[in-house]
This record gives sequence, structure tokens and C-alpha cells, in this order.
Amino acid sequence: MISISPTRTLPALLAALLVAAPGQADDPAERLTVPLSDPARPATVSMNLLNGGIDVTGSAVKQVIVELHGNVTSRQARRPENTEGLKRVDIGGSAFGIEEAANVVEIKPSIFSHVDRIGLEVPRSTNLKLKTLSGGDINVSHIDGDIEVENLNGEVKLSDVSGASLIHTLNGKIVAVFSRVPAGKSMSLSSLNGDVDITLPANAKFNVRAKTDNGAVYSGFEMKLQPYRNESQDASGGTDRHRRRVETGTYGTINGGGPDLQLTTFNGNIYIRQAH
Amino acid sequence: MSKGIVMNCEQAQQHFVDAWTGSLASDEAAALNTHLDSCGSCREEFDRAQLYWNALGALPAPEPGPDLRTAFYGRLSRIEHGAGGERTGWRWLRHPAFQAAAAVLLLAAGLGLGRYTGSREDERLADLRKEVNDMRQLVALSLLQQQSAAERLQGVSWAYRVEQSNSEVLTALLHTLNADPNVNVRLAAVDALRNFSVAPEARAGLVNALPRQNSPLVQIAILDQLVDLRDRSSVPSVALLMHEPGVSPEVRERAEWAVKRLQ
Repeated sequence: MISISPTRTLPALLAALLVAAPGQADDPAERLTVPLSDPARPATVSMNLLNGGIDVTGSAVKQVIVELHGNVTSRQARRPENTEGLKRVDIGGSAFGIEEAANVVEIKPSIFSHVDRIGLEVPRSTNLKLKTLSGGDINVSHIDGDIEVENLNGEVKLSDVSGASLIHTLNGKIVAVFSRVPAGKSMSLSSLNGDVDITLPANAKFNVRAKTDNGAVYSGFEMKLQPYRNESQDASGGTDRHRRRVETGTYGTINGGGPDLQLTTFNGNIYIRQAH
Repeated sequence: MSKGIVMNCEQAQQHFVDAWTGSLASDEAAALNTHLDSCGSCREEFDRAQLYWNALGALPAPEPGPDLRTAFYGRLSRIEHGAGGERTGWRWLRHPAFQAAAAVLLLAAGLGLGRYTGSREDERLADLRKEVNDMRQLVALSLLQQQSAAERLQGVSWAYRVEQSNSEVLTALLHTLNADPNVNVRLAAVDALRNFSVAPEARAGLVNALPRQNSPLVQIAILDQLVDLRDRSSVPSVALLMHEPGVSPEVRERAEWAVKRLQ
């Protein structure tokens, strides 16, 4: 998930509202509001962090609100003493570069900043592309757009979401609660070492492919298992009759089948839960 | 138009194409959005059809025969009738802009339009099957090139549905396996390649992709696939991977296991 687009000629830049916050533990160190070119259309927010966690909440807002938590002061941001009575008008002091063009918001942290968490408040319809490398969880709630998440060491939690989701974390677990499922769209959730735990509405229709090498698969849905597609060929070949287990996973349908739902983990368990 | 227009489902659907081409007046756009926000089924139809509409842009223009349209829908209906589910209100399909794109013809089949009725058995089923397969190929290939990972994943899903002999789709899947930035899309590509496993290029492609992957999960998926295919010719490459520096312990272990199973 490479989220940085190569060139951008004239980024419609950030008529950003910069509010310095008092130094309380929970208050953001910086809060920025990014207006959208066309608030009537779904936005896309793309963010690629080296460290730190991400919290995204969808709401009725018409713009994207970014909150930075932690010690975000870069050298540039420190205010020199001889500026009394002056107001800083550039945004170079931000620990972040934020660009908006044609409803696509890209958030690029300066590598010198130390951000613990980034909070985003976005319109519910927003599509998300989120990536973080070390030490942070990614939480997304109340989002109806497509969700693309890549995390290295942290967990990924989705709640009250309904868009096509592609989630990957190497070492964390994934917990995803869908309030609706996107019509006709495939999804994929994968982790190497963590559990994959998905909750779907009772009427969700999917072709499920669940694969775990060292864990187990549990389903709250009545799952109609399908044979491995090469099975007949294998059986007639008869060269390897003791081989019953199919290494590429469990294939089945829920509620008669639909788009593909791929759930993959190596060391974790897979849970397919039914919402009530 | 006056401020504050209110649209019903039918009017909203007539504005779909204009919305995609950006030719709606702002009050119409607002009214359409208001309607879509409040009407789940229109929203669903709008989103789904928009996916194909966007995919259209990337399609090469096919050259349909003079009576393809009539023939196609006639034959399609007999296949899809009963299976595709009834859809109503596809009024925007009659929009000139939409009709102009000949590709829509093929794409519309994918949308499962079951409303054209037909009655008699058709002997040219093979032709139809080929047309459907060509359509799936177009959709798969164009979706695989989209910016959005969700759409590329959709492209991989379509790739399952083309015939195994389809080498263009196979090539695209192998490219996805090696180059797609999204782990989940690459994982799905491994799975879809199973569909092509009779082709030697597919197996070779899996083996070649092994050392190039930076995701342990994708490497493990490839190893498992090779074991399922009982591809003994891959043993040397798998053994090589075991000794590669920088390979994750999980992959190393799985590779050892795969070599044992394959020998």
C-alpha cells in the first residue's frame, strides 16, 4: 500500500486552522481542519506513518479534522522568542504535511516528529488508506467508505463499518465489526501472527475462504463447505491418497454465497461471528 | 431549477450517468445526494453501477457486430432468467452516453440483468459462453489496474471466473502477484492462480514470485499452493528460499515442511 502519489503540481493547500492546545495529556498537540474540494462527494484520506497509532471516526462533518497527539514539536515548529505580536502564517511549523487535491487528502508526517497517535474525524463516506509501521494500533469506526489498512506490529480494529475492507497486520490481531456489508464487493483480512475476528450482519452473503496454518476456524454462521476445486482431479489421480487435508484453506458459503471474503492467518484463529 | 428539488427513485436513477460524468447542476447533485443518503437500494445500485462505469474508462473499445446487442440480450436472458434476480428501474441505461459505450453491453451482462425475457433454447450457447468469458476478461483486466485496492481485489475475484486457458488474465494475475502494493490483493492473486494451475506458466510464476515477496503471509500461501499442486519441480527453489537470509522464521519452517511434503 504505497500511499504517496508521485507528483502533485499545485496542491490545493490547507487553508488550515491551527489551534495551539494547552498541554494537557489528552488534548491534541495540534489540530488541523482540512476543507474538501467537493464536500458532496466522498473523500479519500491517505496516511502513511512510520510510528504511532491511528484513530479514525466517521461523523456528519463536511471536512477532515486531524488531531496530532504526542510531542509533535519539530525544530521548525518551535517558536522563536522575538515573535511577540506576530502571527505565524505559513504552515511549515506543522509536524505534518497535509495536501488536499480533488477530495484526496494526503497526510505525511515529518520523520522528525514524534507522534503517539493521530486522530481523524472524517465524513462517514470517506475512503481510507492507512498504514503504520511500528508500535501503534489502528482503530476505525463509523465509516461507510472503502478501508485499506496495513499495520506491522499493532492491532487493527474496525467497528460500525460497511465498506469494502482490505486489512493486513503482521503481528497484531484484527477485530472487525460490520454493520452492513458492501453490496457485491470482495474483502480480505489477513494477519501472520494474530487472530482474525470478523462480525457480519446475519444476512451477509459471502463465499468464504478461511485459512489458518496453526489455528482453527470458528463460524457463527451456517457454513456450507465446498470441496477444494482440484479435489476430483486429485482423487482420480490417486497418487497421494492419504493426503486429505487441503493446505490452501477452507472454502465455504454463508447465506448461499456472494462476493469473496478471504480470511487468512498463520498462527492465529479465525472467528466469523454473526451480529445480533 | 428551483432550490430544494426532491427526487424520487426513478428521477434519481435518471441522473446517475450525469453524476458520474460531472454534468449535474449543483442543485441536482445535491438532490441526488440527498436521495442516495436516504434510499439504501438506490445507493447500492448507484455504487455498484459506478464501479462498472469507472471500469469502463479503462476498457479498450471492443468492436461489436451489427446485431450483437439483440442477439446477446436474447441469449443472455435465457441463461440468466431465474438465476440473476430481478432488477427494476435501470432507466439510466437508456441514457445516450451510456448507450454509446459498446462495452456496456458486455458489462451489463455482469450486472445480472434478468429482465429481458426469452423462451426458446439456443444452440449457440458456446458463442455466448465465449462472449461472457470475454466480458469477464475485460472486467478483470481493467479492475486489476485500478488505483483502489478494493477494486483490484474485485479484479482478482473476476479472474476466478475466466476460463483457465485465458493467458492474458494469467499474465495480469502474475503481475499482480509480483507488483501489487497491497498484501491482501497479492494473497488473493495466489488463490486465484490455483484456477490456472494446469498452465505451466502459472506454476513457474508462483515459484518465481517466492523470493520476490516481502510478505511472509504471501510466501506461505505460495508454498501451500505448491504443496497442494504437488509441484515437485519447485523443490530446488523452495529449498533455496529456506537458506535465504532475511526470510522470516515462519516462512523458513513452512518451506522445510513443503520440501518434505513434495519430495
